[in-house]
Amino acid sequence: MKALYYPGCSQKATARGYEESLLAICPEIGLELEELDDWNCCGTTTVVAVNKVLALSLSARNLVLAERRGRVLVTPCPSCWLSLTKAHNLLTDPDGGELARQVRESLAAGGYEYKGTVEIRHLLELLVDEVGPERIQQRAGRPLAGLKVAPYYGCQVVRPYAAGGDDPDDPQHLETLIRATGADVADFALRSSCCGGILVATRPEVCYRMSGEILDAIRRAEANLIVTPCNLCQVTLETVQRKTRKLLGEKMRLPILNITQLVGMAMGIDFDTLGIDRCLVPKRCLREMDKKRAGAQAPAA
Amino acid sequence: MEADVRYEADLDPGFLDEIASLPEGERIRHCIQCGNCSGMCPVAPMLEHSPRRIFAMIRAGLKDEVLRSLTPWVCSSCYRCTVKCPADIKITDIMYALKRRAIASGTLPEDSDAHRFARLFTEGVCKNGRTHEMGLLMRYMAFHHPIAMMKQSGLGMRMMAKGRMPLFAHKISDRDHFRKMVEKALSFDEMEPGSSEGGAL
Repeated sequence: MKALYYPGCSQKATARGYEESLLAICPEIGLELEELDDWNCCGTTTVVAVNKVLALSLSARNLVLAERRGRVLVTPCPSCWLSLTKAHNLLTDPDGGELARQVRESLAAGGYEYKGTVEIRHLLELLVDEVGPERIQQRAGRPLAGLKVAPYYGCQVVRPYAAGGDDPDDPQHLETLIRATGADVADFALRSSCCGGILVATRPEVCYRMSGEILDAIRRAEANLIVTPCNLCQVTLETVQRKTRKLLGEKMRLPILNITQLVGMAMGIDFDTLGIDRCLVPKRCLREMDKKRAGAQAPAA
Repeated sequence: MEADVRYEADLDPGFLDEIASLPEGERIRHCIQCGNCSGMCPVAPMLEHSPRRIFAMIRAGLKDEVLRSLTPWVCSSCYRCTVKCPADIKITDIMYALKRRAIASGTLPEDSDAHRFARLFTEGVCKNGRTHEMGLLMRYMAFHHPIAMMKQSGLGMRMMAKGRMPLFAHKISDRDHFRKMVEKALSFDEMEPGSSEGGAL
């Protein structure tokens, strides 16, 4: 399958491992990605606090660029996915009203026009619905049997719209993906609770409390690692995990991976290529995780 | 106990209309004060005014207090309230609208500078076309939160060592057309004419 790729800003920085692992697994799953040329920031949840027309125009410019090159636009970032989706919805809504007119005028000032033909998809949903768990399972040369993975959705891949028609109250895409890698699912209640990531700079104490509760629930579920489709959740949980001794009275050091890192690991791709070495936990914790799966595999081999 | 008395003269009876006239505000009059939003809200326990209360305050015309409230600035954009509101009110989007009004009118909470973060973020995007996480955090924290910055320096160094905090900002190539789009977008002002700062950044 061919698709245009909208990375989003964090994919080039804090979530670099997410991009590296995505590009590493693409050939394995028959996904041909072309990075959108000269894309810009989607505006995320922040620009809309300053100017709504600007926030929507920023997202819409990316849709214009995508429309010139193809039809399907995939992004790994839930916040980018939501921002792009909101701009698309407004500009394809016959009742878009004054706001849609202002966004169109802003686009026109830059020489851009959006016809509304782009299909925006989130990577998680694309992996589950398009690539399919069977194909991932087939390619999983080193399945993750023996590992218990906590599926952490975060917010914006399930709310206000659930990507790919997943059930917002009981999403299953991550679970499907985890099972396809041969790992077990660690069941915990706070799968789609908010980590407070957008408050990490402006209201850290609130964010620590929110992420702390999630990490505590994951610890109780006895997971060996956490997987999330969200760039911001990944770095937020990593940041707060460094404070778990103070927050939870016990030090937690779980590897927190992106979905493509998990899939790549099951395919036997090395940690360096997948950017897993960029995780903030000590390398020792990554090796321990790896040993657990190897240990579980040995008797079966 | 001292009674909390409000006088009618301090109220802004037009505030409800002001919010209701926005695209995201059209359903606000349907609020039944059920409290689902506050019950679902992950940050409500840490707030002075829960979301339900904010909606009661908007209806009462307590404009100044609503705009000075921390609630919109501590909203984590999780959308739980939005998807569970029985009246289909776009609560999260209204929180963004309240932030915009607070910034544009300079009616800001005393114990938060999250509005400064939002502006710095927006300025960065307008200038380069992309977000530069490290530059943004430095600008936000350096002078105003030096102690917090020192506390976070270990994390920052580790992120840099892992190649996750590039030093330099990436700039998009077609900044000419991009800038024209941005300027046009900023020229639209959803506030009433005469508001202090209008669409300027």
